[in-house]
Amino acid sequence: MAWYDKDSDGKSRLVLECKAMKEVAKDFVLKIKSDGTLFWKGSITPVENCFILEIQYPANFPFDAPEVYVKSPKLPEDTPHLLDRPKQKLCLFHSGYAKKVGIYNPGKTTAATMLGHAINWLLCFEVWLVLKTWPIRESPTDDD
Amino acid sequence: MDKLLFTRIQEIVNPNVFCGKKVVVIGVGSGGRKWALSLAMAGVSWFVLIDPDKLSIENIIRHICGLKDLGCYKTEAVKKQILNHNPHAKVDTHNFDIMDDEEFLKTLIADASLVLAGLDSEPARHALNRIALLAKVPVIYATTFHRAFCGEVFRVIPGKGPCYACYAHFLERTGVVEQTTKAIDYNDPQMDEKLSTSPGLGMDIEIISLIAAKISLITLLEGTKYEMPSYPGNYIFWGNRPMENGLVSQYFECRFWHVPRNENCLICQPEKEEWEQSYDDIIANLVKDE
Repeated sequence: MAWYDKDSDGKSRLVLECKAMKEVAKDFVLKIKSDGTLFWKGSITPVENCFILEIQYPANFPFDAPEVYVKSPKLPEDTPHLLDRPKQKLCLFHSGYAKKVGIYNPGKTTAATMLGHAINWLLCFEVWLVLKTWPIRESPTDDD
Repeated sequence: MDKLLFTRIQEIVNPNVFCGKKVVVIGVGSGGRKWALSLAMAGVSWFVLIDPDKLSIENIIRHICGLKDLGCYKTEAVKKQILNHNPHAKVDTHNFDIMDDEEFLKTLIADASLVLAGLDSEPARHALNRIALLAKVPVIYATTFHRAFCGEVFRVIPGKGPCYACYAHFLERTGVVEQTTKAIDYNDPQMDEKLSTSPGLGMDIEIISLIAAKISLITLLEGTKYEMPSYPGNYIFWGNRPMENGLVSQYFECRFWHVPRNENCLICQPEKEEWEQSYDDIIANLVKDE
């Protein structure tokens, strides 16, 4: 059973997700894959390039964060901060570190929050395209 | 012999007070096993131990179960330790990852008096938080960090005070995200494992476990004739040793904080107001992926 269909909490969370997304990105459309996975699809133009994004809810949402993919354009081969290069999945926070200390918080993070993180990533990407330097620092590890 | 077993503790806590009180322990690694064993030695006699892992060689140096238990499930090894001290205890063991079977976890927690969360995965803590809130079962969380130089213990009492997501929000754990220059090797398949496995001395972890055990005992005894005095706040920070970053300034530093509920928490205070679209409307209007 899908996370949004499991109980009343899942249903009310989906309503809340829709409300949050409509407030910040009303052009994004909620879609469903054949396996029941829900995702938002829409375009964003942070500076001058237009990107088509998918924000996908993982199977165990809200315990894991929604994942963000750039569906188009195809990014350069050497683009940094991609967790899955062929699928162009964005690294929005340090997954191992997040598991340890909790970067993602289901109590306050929605797909709309992830869209905000994605826009930050895209802004960094635009800088990287010109300077070949990622303009913000990497997340810390447990040894820091 | 049986009559003498609890002689040294029963004036403080008569073990009969724990009759019918089931304690679910999730994660019986180096921290969780000490936590569970301490409660068994205080007279708690009904445990459900959950952990998917077997004892491997690197666990042994900081685990009460030694080389003779190498290769055994941690739950089974800890069960033996509990029964060795408290032979009256009922101990059920389940070797699974709670993220893999949420429904089964719900059934295990449904009639529990207390859950001890010795988890090292943030999604698992959040999953447990939601399940325990629904079941209205209190949970004690204990964690060490910075190589177990320090740690924290706090509890979530459903309907009273903050939930786990509220604590995570208040503690602003996202605040440290952009403070390092260390590069991540995206091509390293072990990256996640390396980053989520933390070194630490067994003795440093055990102190946190003992604090967690005491908080568990306080919680279990609330409302009984053996009720213990409360403690200030709802969050305990413990520093094992001074740290260069200033987080801990001296050995054995203890701080009590009061963490408030997050009024906007999406987990324990989900928005009840109606929105323009109901759940049924949303499902009916979903666009199929081409």
